[in-house]
Parts: sequence; C-alpha cells; structure tokens
Amino acid sequence: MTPTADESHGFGRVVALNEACKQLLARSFQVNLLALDAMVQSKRGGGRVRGFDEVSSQMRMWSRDLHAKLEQLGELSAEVVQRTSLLTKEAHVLRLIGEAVRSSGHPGAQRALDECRDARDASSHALAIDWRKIMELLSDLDQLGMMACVLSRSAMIEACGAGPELRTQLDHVSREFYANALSVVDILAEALKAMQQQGNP
Amino acid sequence: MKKATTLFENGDHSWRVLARDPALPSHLVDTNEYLISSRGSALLTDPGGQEVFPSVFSALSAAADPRTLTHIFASHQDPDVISSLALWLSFKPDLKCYTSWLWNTFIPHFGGTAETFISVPDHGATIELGSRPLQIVPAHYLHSSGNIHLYDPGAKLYFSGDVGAALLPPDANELFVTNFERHIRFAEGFHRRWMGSREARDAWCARVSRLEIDMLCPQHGAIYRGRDVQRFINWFSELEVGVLKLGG
Repeated sequence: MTPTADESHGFGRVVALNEACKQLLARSFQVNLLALDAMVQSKRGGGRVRGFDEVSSQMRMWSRDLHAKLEQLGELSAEVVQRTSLLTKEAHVLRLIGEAVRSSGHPGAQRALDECRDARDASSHALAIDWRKIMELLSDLDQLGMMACVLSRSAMIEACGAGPELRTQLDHVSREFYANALSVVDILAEALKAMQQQGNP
Repeated sequence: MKKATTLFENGDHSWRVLARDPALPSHLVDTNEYLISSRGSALLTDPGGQEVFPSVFSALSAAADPRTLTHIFASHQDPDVISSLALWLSFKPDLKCYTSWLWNTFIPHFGGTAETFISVPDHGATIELGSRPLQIVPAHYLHSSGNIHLYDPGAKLYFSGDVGAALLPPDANELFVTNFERHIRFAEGFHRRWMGSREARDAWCARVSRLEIDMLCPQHGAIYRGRDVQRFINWFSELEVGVLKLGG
C-alpha cells in the first residue's frame, strides 16, 4: 500500500491539531492555578479589590471552558484518526480494483470499483463533517482566547485599586493572565497555519 | 483508545507502553506497543495490526509528538505485529523499519518500499536511537524463524516480542505482573504451543541471563519487573516446548 500525499496530509493535520491541544491544555492548567492564587490574594485585599476577585473567578471559569472544549477536540481527533485510517485503506482498495478494471475491463470488476468508490465517498463525507466540527470548535476557542485577553485587561485595571502592598502582586498576576491569553490566540493561529500547510480538510 | 504509561524516563530518554484499549473487539488479540524516545527520535516496537492502528496512533499522539517517530521495529512477520505498516507509512512515508533479513520480501506485502526496510542479520546488531545504543538480540524460532528482540542497556528494559507473552482474561488484565504464579498460568499454553525449539529456547535463556534487565516487556500480556524477570527466564528454561500432543 503506497501512501498518497492526501493520506499523509490527513494524519499531518490531526497531528498539528493534537500538538496545539497539548499546549492549550498546559495554558488552561496554568490559568486555573493563577486564578486560584489570585482569588486567595484578593480576599486579603478586602473590598478595594473585589473587582479583581470577580475577574479572577471569571478567569477560572474560562480555564474550565477551555478544558471542556479541548476534551471535545480530543474525542473528535480520535474519531478523525479512525476515519482517516479507514479512508486510507479504502483508497488503497480502490487503486487496486482500478488496476484490475484497467487490465481486465470486466463489467463485474467495474461494478466492484463503483461500489468501492461509493464507500470511499461516504467515508470522505463523514470525515469532512468531523473536520467541520473541529473548525467550529477552533473558532469557539479563538473567541475564548479573545475573551481572556479582555478579562486580563480588566484584571490589570482592577489591580490598580489595590493597596501598594498588594498592587505589585496583582499586577503581576494580571500580566500572567494576559500572557496566557495571548498564547492561546497565538497557538491557535499557529495550529491553523500548520493545518493549512497540510492542505484543506 | 489505548493508554500510554511511562516505564522509564531519564532526561530525554524514555520508554512508554501503549496498552489496554477497553474498546478492543474480543476477536482481536490484545497487543502492547512500546515507544522508545531519545533526543528527538523515537522508535515504535511491533506497531500492531491495521485494525488497532487508530488506537495506537491516538495513544502515541497523546504521549509524544508522533512526528518524532523515525523507526519501527518488527520482531517478526505476524499480522498482529506489523500489518499496520502501510498506515504508519501513510502518516510518515520516510519511516524506517528494522526487521530480520528473512522477512525482507515478505513484510513489504503489508506495505513499504525497498528503502523502508533495514535488514537485521541473524546475529543481531547494535543500532542508535538519538545518540543512544540499542542492541538487537537474536531470538530465532521463538517463535518465528526470523525473530529479533530489542535491549536498551541504558534503561535496562528488554522488548521480548512473543517471549513472555500471556493471553490474559479480561478480569486479570493487569499491566504489570503482580503475582507470578497466577500470571504464568496464562503464559504456559502459549509458550508450549508457539515456541518451537528447545535449542533456541536454551540459547535465548543463556543469552538474556547475562543482561541486566529491570523489565521484560512482551508484546502481549503483562510486563515482568524486578525478580520476576529472572523467575520468568528460569520458568521458561524448564518448560517443555516444541511438542504438540494431539488428543484421541
């Protein structure tokens, strides 16, 4: 079974996706920890940093949302591997029966070829639907990344309300939030680029 | 999907086993795949049959970047060992596959070109992964007539293919041997029937007894650790093999 460029690229796309998911998962854990720590610190600051406490709590929810979306992506990725494997095998059978048709010209072989082509087209269609779902999820994730950028900007503003002792710490945390939010956006952009380099799904 | 479990890790050198897919259909024999990584290169032992490819690929992807995979190691020619080759090559066409020279024109029926295969001579070889030496150990007639194992002297882990394999029932499907006496019952029938040569068995037992092995990692069943490694070698050295007694 000699692979075609399309088959190789099908697996390549899913690898680009999986590697991005691993990096995003690390960001989600990091933001969760940061937010927890920030919530504890802002409790110490009392009423002056109630806004910061609220934003930190939002960031924590954000990291959970991110985690949930990544789990969905993980499931879809496994499904795509399954379908790409099947499609690779079907494409191989199609090539071999095609050779048989060319060498024999027998109507029975032609019928078999047509059936195989139908099966391959059905698999191809199912795979395209999975990829569409993945692209929708990636778009949701991109919006989540933007939302985190906005939230962390709010955190920076709220940090200014803290007393001098706490201000530096909260300012540092909000900058960490921002750096992670920007990373999420960057990772997604890189992943989409890597996936496009492997060809459009 | 299979799950990846780390068996050894020291800096950039690691062994992971990909095993135990709860969704594996019962008509397929269960297999263990081992991913050995060193300095940005990785080798996968007996990558499995084509039916388990999606599960192995997904588990491998969760544990490591599959693009680092550079080599496949096929202990012998069986379909549960290497029939997924074409799918791995679909993912990465320049993968190289180590196998006994005996199967050079047989395994390509599963896929690959002449450039895919690296022939291993009968006496074995020392290869490099990353910058780490790995020893290919001959194990011919155990069970295949061209059979090879892989020893990693840095990790002290030994991939033993079908030697040490056990066909475990679902309620005793542990990843590591915890009770040798109980476990070996599931290995006995397999070794009596599959291992065809007493002479080859004796030579193998003598050869591996000289190696420092922390874990003996078979392609099926549970992994032997610590003292159970030598217990297995002793048990195997005394087992009656190569005899089929037909009833009636």
